Amino acid sequence: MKTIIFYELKEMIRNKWWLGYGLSFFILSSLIFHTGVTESLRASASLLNLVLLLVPLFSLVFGSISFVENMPFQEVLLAIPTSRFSIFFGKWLGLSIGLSLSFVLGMGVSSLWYSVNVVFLMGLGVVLTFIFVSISFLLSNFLKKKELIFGIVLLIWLLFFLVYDVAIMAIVSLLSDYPLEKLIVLLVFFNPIDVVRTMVTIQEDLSAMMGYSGALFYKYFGSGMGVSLCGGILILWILFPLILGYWKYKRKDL
Amino acid sequence: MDDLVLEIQGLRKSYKKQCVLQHVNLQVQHSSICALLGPNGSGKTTLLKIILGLIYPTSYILFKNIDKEDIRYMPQHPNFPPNIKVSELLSLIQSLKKQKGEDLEELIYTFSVESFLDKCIRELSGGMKQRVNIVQAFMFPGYLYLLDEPTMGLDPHVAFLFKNLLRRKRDQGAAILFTSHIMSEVEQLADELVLMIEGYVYMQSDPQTIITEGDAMNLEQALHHYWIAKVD
Amino acid sequence: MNIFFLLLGICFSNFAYAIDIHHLIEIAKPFDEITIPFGAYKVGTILIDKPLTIKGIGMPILDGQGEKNTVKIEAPDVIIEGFEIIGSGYSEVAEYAGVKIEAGERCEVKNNKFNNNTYSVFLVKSKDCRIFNNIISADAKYEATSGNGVHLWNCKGIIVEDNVIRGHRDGIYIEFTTDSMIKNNLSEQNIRYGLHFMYSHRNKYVRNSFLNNQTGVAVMYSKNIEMLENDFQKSWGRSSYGLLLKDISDSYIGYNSFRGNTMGIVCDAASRNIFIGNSVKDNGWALNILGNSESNFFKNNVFISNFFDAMTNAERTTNVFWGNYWNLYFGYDLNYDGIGDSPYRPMKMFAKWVAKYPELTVLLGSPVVEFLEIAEKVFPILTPITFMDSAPLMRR
Repeated sequence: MKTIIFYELKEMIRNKWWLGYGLSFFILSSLIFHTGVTESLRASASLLNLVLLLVPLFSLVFGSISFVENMPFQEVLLAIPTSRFSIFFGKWLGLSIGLSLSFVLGMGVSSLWYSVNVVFLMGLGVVLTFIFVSISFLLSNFLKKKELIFGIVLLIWLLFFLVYDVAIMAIVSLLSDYPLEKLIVLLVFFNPIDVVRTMVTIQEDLSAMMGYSGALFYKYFGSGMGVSLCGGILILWILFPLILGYWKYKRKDL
Repeated sequence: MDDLVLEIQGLRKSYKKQCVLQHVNLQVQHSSICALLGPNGSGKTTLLKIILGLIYPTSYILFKNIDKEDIRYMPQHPNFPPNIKVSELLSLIQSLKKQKGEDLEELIYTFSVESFLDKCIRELSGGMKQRVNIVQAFMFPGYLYLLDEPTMGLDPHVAFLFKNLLRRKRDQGAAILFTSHIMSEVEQLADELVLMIEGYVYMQSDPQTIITEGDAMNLEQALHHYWIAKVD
Repeated sequence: MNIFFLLLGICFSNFAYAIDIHHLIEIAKPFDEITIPFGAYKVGTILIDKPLTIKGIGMPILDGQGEKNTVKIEAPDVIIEGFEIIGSGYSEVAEYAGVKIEAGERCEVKNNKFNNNTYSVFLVKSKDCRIFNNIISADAKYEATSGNGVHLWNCKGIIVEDNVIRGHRDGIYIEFTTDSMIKNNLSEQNIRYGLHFMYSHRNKYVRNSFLNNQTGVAVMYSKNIEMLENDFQKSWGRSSYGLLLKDISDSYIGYNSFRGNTMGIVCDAASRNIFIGNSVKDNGWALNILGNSESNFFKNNVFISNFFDAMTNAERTTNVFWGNYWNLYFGYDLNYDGIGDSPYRPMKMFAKWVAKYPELTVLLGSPVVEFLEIAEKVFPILTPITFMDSAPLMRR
């Protein structure tokens, strides 16, 4: 499996998109650091949004392209023979590590340049990479047609990034007569992007804006337990699609 | 029985809507070259992939007299990763196999691969890629070679060298199962011919018999006769 | 006489403990000046009951030993200068201070350092006193067991100027006190308010900085307060505000800066106040004007990169906005008069929802919120119509 991981990494680093991915993070985060004063609340929100926008999008697209395009080559590897297990997980690890590397380098260099501490956000970005590569593998294995996969991948991205939050707002506005606090907290768990957003909200102490009426939120997210709860949910978000995807891959005709 | 490398009985493979392989019986012996013939979509590639374990058959009886490690495969469109070098690809395969390719250097020499060893796959022409494909499949010794359209895109000289390679492998005792469209090639090479049509093995025999029985000049003509007879 | 005591002080400077300050004060005549050399004096309580000037040289330490008030003044025209005053006592019934002035007039407390007193400077029923250039710090932990940096009760005409106050309950606390001036102070890291007014009319505070307090300034139940050119920064927390106006009327809030507070300005039953030329930047909410606040007037204020510009719990309002700059305003100015042609509504729908469901704060940075704002621009019906600036400025 180690061989597969290194091969995936090598293959990825020579891809021009890998460079583009890191560069776009370098440029865009530098722009944000440069224009927004780092202490400004809105600047940190833009930085967060940059991560929440690009990381899932790239991970999904890159993950599914890499999986689908390399399908014929997998025949060669499987015939060597190599186990499906090491191909699947090796590829997953290689891709995730490669994308994370590009992201961390891009954002890390620019944050060092402007000496801003974004380690927490970068850590979450890495976790998001692993999550969305998992999801892309899941989709690539359950859907047959290539064009369909890319369509669905973009849809999923749109769903998590945008539609989901719209739905939360819609629910709130439609059901505003009922107590909804628990529902909102629960809904947050079902979208990894929102979980990350919540973790940053807590860490940056934006949750102070809820005042005392956000008590329930604090109960679930506030303390160290809240952070570990969020962390646990993110790990589930990695494992669940990954294992389901592998389950399918193992039974699949290639 | 001991001569058999592979015996398949009653192999069926169906997807939700259509049946790709209806009922396939096949025997492959040691020291033989067996050609799989048939029109597009007759299930040749599927059959090879089932033997490899890439596709799960619906029902079958399959005897393999050999270990999985001893099967070599040459896919039709290998689609090697574009951004790695040929040499890196070959060393990747060796490290996955955890052994050195015994015949690697000889093959590289024979098929003049060294001139583009340091090039990335994406820079290669179709023929070059096919040569790499040959090298990757034959670098380790094996008992059963599954070759999917192996001569496609090869220039005549390389094709000649390749056929020699196949004959030598056969003489060393290996079994070779390959698919092809080119009748003359099959006629030259094959000890055994399997004609597949729409998921059935229509005929398994040796080419010379087919030509004589069909009262034809060559294999192409003989098969043509068979074909007309079948349609009637 | 003065020279005599000075000489005495110098003679005994190596034996500071030998100086009996109580005795010196006892034998001094009114309007004498007593000079105390450097040293650490465990004094318990010094009682000054006649007009005197007491000066420390090299910051001698007066230690109240945790008993009662370290220095207690019960006379007019007393000046305390140049001491480090520490260790006032703590009691659940009495308020003990580093310097407590009762019924003093024209007293001055200046150039001192205060450390670890329950209250540092406490004025009761005093007039025309001046608290000037002191560095006051404490280590307050709980509201219930701590006191204030400067505490004015029932006073008149007090000037509090150029002090640094940190780590108390309230930096400056003012109750039933009129006609005072609070100027150029830095009040920071106090566990409740930087400055706290109760029932105190006609006061003025100018050019003070309030940093990292739980709430910068709380002005309560008072009238005619002038608040000018102050800096309210970083009051960030679950119930933290830059400026809290509770039952305040007819006051003037001008040219202040509000930065990085959870809420910049909160108006609770605050009416007929005028807000001019304030800069409100990087706050969670710039303004929170509760429905019980009426007829406030906002002009020429600048609102930049706040998460929300305004919030209220009312359906309609009598508060007026005119000619403010809002960085979220994107209207046109076709006649180039510097005033946007369409009105700006600072209260957004999302702000209203967040007020109702604080958990929605997690969507704060979400692009959905941005989309909602665009939607509001296209369909202005969506925006709650409570607040409106009919003449928003195009430039700052």
